[in-house]
Amino acid sequence: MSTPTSRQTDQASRQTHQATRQTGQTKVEGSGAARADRTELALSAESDKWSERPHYRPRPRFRSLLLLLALLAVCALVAITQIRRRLDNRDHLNVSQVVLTADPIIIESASNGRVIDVPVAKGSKVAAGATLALVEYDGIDGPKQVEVTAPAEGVITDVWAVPGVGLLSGSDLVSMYEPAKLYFKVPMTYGDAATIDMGSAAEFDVPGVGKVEAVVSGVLPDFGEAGTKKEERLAQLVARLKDPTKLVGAVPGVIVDGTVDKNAADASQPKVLFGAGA
Amino acid sequence: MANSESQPSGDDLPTVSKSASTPPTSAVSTVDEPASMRDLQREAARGTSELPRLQRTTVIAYLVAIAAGGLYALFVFNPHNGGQTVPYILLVLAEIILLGNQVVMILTILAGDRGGDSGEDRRVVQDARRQLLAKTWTPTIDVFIPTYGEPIEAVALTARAARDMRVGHRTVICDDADDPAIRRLADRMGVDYLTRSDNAGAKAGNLNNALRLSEAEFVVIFDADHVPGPNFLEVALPHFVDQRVAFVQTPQSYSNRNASPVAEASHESQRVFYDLICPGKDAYNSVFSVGTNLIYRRAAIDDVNGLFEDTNSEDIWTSIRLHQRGWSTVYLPVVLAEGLAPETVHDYLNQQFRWARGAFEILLQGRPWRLRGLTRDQRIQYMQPALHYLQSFAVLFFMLLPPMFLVFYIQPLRVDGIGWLLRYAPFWLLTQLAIYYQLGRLHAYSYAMAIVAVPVHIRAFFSALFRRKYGWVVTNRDGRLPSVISYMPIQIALIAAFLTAFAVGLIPLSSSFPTVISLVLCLVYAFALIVVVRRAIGDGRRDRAASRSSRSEPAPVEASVP
Repeated sequence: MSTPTSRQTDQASRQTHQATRQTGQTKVEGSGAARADRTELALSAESDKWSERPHYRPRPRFRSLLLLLALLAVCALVAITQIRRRLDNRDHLNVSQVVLTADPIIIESASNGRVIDVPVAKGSKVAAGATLALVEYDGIDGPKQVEVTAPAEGVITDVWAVPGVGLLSGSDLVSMYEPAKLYFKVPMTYGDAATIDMGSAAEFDVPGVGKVEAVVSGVLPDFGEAGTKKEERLAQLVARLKDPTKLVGAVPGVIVDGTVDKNAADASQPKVLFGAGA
Repeated sequence: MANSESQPSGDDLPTVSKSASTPPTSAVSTVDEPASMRDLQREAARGTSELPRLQRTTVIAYLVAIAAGGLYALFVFNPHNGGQTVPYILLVLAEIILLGNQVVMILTILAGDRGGDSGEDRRVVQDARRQLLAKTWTPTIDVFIPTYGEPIEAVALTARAARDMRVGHRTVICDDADDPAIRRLADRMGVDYLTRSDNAGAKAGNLNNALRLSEAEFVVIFDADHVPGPNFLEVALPHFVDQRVAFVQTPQSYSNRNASPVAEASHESQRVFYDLICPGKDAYNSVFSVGTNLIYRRAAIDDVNGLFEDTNSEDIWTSIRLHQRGWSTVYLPVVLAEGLAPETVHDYLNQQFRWARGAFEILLQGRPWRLRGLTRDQRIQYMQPALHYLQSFAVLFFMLLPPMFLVFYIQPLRVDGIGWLLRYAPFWLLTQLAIYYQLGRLHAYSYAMAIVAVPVHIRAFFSALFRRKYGWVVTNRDGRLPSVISYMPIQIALIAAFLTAFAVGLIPLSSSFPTVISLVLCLVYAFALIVVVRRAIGDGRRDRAASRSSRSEPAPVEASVP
């Protein structure tokens, strides 16, 4: 707005201001006077007019009060449940979709040759050093029979070797896992993972076995994939069994629930994300 | 645009003299009223246009704001950035309302800047003004003051000011409450008094009743709490020299803006409307009547069969009908009358409810997008008020986002708070900056009042949608204020919700920067609401004290009337 306009506007408002100020003084007396008129009116026959005046009435007070109390109750309820949950989660995390995991050991052919005999089958338990397959490798000075043995005590998960079939160097023969090295893979956000100490205690409810104790030993690295959404990336926390014998015979892949403590008993432990690997 | 068949003949109007280029001083020298002369000179000094010029900085800020808004829209409306589905859809809806309203508002405001284009019109208007002052043009004018239980001292002030306006006219108090005190007041002041047997049609019915009994060419309307200056008629009336003009609307301004922060906030938000938006509406020939501080051409009202009665927003509905019939309207951005803003939170919310309800009625029942006889611009302009109040839905959604994030980890966008803020802040800051450039200030209390009015606007929407009944009540009515709980339950509950979210958010499952922003926002919203609720509680206390003291010492009414 250009200056002259506002000057005029100002002047107009100043005039009215003065007028208002004058009546502002009388207003104090006047408001009482207006009420006096009303009482006079109330005595007259036309008094009904005032009560009949249609006007926007605020909700009756008790309804507003009920509404307010209901909303406050909702607030209180949410506050109590959420605060309790979070205080609960302050020292430990409730986790789900935890996978009992075994790392596969794949036994490969060391050289070209052929399979002669496979004494193990899928699911069979083998001791450390037990023969898994008898193979014949091609050597410079003719074929040589070799026994392929189990590197550790374990369970056979797959057998690809078939007697009589030729082998190339690096062909898969047998896969197995070590029940003693079962661990739990705990999916959680990186934010949550950052709050957990290395060496914290964890507890999982394995069906058929009951509570199983474990110790947080690290996080599996996630190199991500192109196009993976940030919030879909989850840290895979690793918790090793405290007593590996307890789960001998359990099937890897079982999904369990449990809790993970955030603080290790040993205060010098670093947080998992910065601690030693799994 | 004008429908020539429906126009009145121009015999009774002054012919524009050929001496239009004569310097105003010589032309006005015959006028015997020096005050008017001064007014004229002052007005002449305003340059070639009677419309305010937008500052260049304002225009630039708005243009950049449109660009920033576009970039923000590209970001938000990209589904790739969406987070959880339902919150994201709600966010998109909220953004459509907010951005849509801002676009309409900015285009309107920019259109209002017409620079010197209207110089030609103005000379004609000036000539008409000279004829009016020289009494060579003597139109008949009736000034109506519709009252309905307003405090008598307010009516007295308005009636006296209306009576004392220069240029010959008749002043009539149209009292729907049939109050003997008002009748006595009218007698003492020498103005006419009119009442009727029923209250049919509320304010519009009251005025139509008066119109039936009057034969004046021009009808001026002042609400009982709007006090005109003596120059009102001289400045506004000459614009009727254009025969197509149905009414001339002047702004509302509040003389009691310093009485309470609530009044000040009302005043500031009104300035955005009257100083920025209305000039733009005028450019689209779609200014609507606000029911006070305006002059109607009687022929125009007759052309649409009187003021529209079946609603509480009779002024806007009447304006629509006038525009449909091809009449044009003038907005004069000069404050010529000073009104009373609501001083208590209750009255403010009541007023907001009425206005929002009126705007939503136009949108839902008037369906401006398919009204015949309106230009596309006019249709958009008639949707603008509803769009403005619809913003409250969006504001509520945005207000609830921080607590929802703190308590339930609800995130409508995949980016964190910073990513969103970086894209939204430029747009928001620029729109606020433009208002600051043009009006010279931003008023923090206005923002708090806007937040407090959000549930009221939403209620008004549903009240209009389901066509609930509600009557009309004057803004500054006498009488006891109801308890705060009865008219602000949602606002109080919101305070509790924000504080709850704050408490819960203090124990984060994982603390991060969005958590900190959300915590701060929760506190800010709670603080704003608490300030206003405390004010409302104080209003109630002052009101009780006032009614106690007035009961104990009544004063004679004659003292307040000259």
